[in-house]
Amino acid sequence: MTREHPGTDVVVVGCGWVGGIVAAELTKAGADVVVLERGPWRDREAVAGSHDEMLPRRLVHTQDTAVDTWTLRHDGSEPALPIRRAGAWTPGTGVGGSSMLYGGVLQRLQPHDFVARSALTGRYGADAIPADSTLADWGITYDDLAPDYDRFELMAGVSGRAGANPFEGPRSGEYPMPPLPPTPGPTLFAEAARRLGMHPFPVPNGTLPLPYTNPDGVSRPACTRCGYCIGTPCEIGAKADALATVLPVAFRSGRMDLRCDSTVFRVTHRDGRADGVLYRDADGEVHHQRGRVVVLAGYTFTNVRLLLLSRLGTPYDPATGTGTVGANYSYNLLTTGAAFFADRRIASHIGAGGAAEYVADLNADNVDHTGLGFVGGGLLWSAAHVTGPIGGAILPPGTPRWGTGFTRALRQWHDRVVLGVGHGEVLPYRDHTIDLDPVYRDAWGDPLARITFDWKPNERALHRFLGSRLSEVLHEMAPTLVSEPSDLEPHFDTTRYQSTHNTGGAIMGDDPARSTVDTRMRMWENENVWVVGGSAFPQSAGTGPTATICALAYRASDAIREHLGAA
Amino acid sequence: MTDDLAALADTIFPATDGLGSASDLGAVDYVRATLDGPLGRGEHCYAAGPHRSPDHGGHGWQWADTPAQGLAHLLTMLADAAGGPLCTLDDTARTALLTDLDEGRIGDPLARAAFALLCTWVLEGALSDPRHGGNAGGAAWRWIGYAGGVR
Ligand SMILES: Cc1cc2nc3c(=O)[nH]c(=O)nc-3n(C[C@H](O)[C@H](O)[C@H](O)COP(=O)(O)OP(=O)(O)OC[C@H]3O[C@@H](n4cnc5c(N)ncnc54)[C@H](O)[C@@H]3O)c2cc1C
Repeated sequence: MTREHPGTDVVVVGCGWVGGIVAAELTKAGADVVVLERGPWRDREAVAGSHDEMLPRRLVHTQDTAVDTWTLRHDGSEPALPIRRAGAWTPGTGVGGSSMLYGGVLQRLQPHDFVARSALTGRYGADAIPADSTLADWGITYDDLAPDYDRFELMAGVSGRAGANPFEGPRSGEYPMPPLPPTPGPTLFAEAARRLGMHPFPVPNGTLPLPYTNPDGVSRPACTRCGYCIGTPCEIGAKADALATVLPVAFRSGRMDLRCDSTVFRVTHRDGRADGVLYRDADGEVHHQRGRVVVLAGYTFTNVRLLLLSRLGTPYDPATGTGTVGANYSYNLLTTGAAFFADRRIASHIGAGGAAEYVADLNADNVDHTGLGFVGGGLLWSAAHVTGPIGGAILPPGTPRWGTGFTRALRQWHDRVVLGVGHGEVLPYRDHTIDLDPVYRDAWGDPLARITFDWKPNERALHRFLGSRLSEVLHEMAPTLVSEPSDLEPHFDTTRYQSTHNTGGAIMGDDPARSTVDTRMRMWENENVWVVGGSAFPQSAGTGPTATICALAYRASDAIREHLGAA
Repeated sequence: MTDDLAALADTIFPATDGLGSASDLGAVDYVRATLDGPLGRGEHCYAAGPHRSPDHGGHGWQWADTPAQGLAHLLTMLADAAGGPLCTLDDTARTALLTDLDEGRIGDPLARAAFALLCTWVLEGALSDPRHGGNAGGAAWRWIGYAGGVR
């Protein structure tokens, strides 16, 4: 028995960053919105007690992979295996989604990133891009998106200093908030990078250095520098998440009906128009929620999987290159190294995920790639994010994993380590895709999303390049010891956390034959379905995705509002 | 009470320079609770088959065994290799046994994966917030000099 609900204006799948922004913007415009969230309700009181390293280690706020996970194969000729426990990425569940768990870094992409294919081709010739890469321009430029970045930054109170990063795109003005106060580890890192001729800057982020009231009248307190940001909801809402910023606006309107424990499994449609979605509640009862517009905002994997399960859009076929849904799956690569100081404490229990010094000198196409043998770039950084004594147990190379050699090292190096990170882009390739797994199914019998992905030569070369420059910075800090960044593993490892920056699968563009959504996130093939999130990125960038995802959510909201007005 | 699990945990995390061993710190209780709890039972882990062993790395735990079953396998395998209960061996013999495991002279991939998991759980038991049952009185935090631990 399917329970039918009265229709509404907009049905939103997922209550994370994107779902929250869309709900706030459309309710402000007078629309009625039903938001369906698979995970539980939570408010700020419910996340008190977050000062506990074990919560993220136990994945308590992460998508429950016992119920719904992904399968992965390293190339199209082998059977995929399920990712039995979230490891490389850890998308959130529950109200606020991953916005509750992210590090808070909210950096814009560089102008280059939006036009990477044409810019690289123009500078180095078409041969510079690997022949099997499906790198594509976005169909919009940085300048097109700049006003939406502005709106998002003002809403979230993004902190930073205009011009501190010489490679950032033009801005209409200063950041809403000044940078977070400096912290010791990142400061050492930045000083070393500067001596090497690089241009470190305090990274723009959504964690408040000062109390802030945004244009919607929503107030948040300043960060206490407790350091529990990454993988952990902020106890006080100093880190911009959906619960602290956009959801209060939607609630206040009285026009949002938020239903938790509601897992959407199909979009219902006929003749090119969606009429709603099917979802299951906590008891497994099936509901049908109708709406004039359907917005998929369930993170990259859910967005793509729902399109495929619902037979919306045309699935991508890597053999022929036809279709688009599932194409251009991409990710970020990560390299880490560490500087150990025998005679210096770092105070690494103080900080925030966004209290970081970044270097963009190697990002995008900021270095001349002639003769380097790869395209693309990445950031180097050091962040004062507290991982606690377990995650912070970073020990010099060669330290035993057990016995007194291990326990003594724990004590000797505790709080004497500065971690350095290189974070790079990953090109999209013809055979890197998301489709439906033919074997493995979720708890209700629907096929899991299957990912085909591995590291390719271009990414291995970029990884080595970032690692070698990172190593120079670490040595320049004059530490007692350096743990060198290592090479990428022989095959992509699903167990080692790298980032929850999964992109593509329902990409945007200006050509319906090559993109699933137009440049305002509306499906080419379905005029009342919007697919919003990292799924729309034609490729990943060296910069983290979230500021751009949120700017795209504003862009989509405008388009939906116009559609409702006209419909 | 010393049993094989406690003996193994105390070899991984022995008493060191004034800090107690894994069992002194309550880390063994933490490991037992973990084994009996959701993680040991494999909750939060996708359990459906088919279970295949991949021909190359990168796929993580693909055995049909839960972590608790993997750990039971490790203990049996080590006791077999030692020719008797681990808790009757002295420290030197246990260290030699684990070195053999680490260096691939004994054991199989499941035993090695279970051992890696046990090392992680022992560390968690020793260094996590005392509310989780280990790190009794925050002793390990004081010992390493952890200045956080604010609740
Ligand atoms: C630990 C961590 C650290 C991160 N750090 C950074 C960072 O510093 N900088 C950066 O740029 N990015 C970072 N990210 C990524 C960032 O969190 C995401 O890019 C961002 O939250 C994406 O927004 P979204 O709305 O698309 O997805 P989410 O915020 O994940 O929201 C999606 C929501 O949809 C719900 N949902 C999914 N499927 C369904 C379904 N079938 N039915 C109903 N609801 C569903 C989910 O439960 C979730 O609440 C980080 C992520 C993590 C996990």
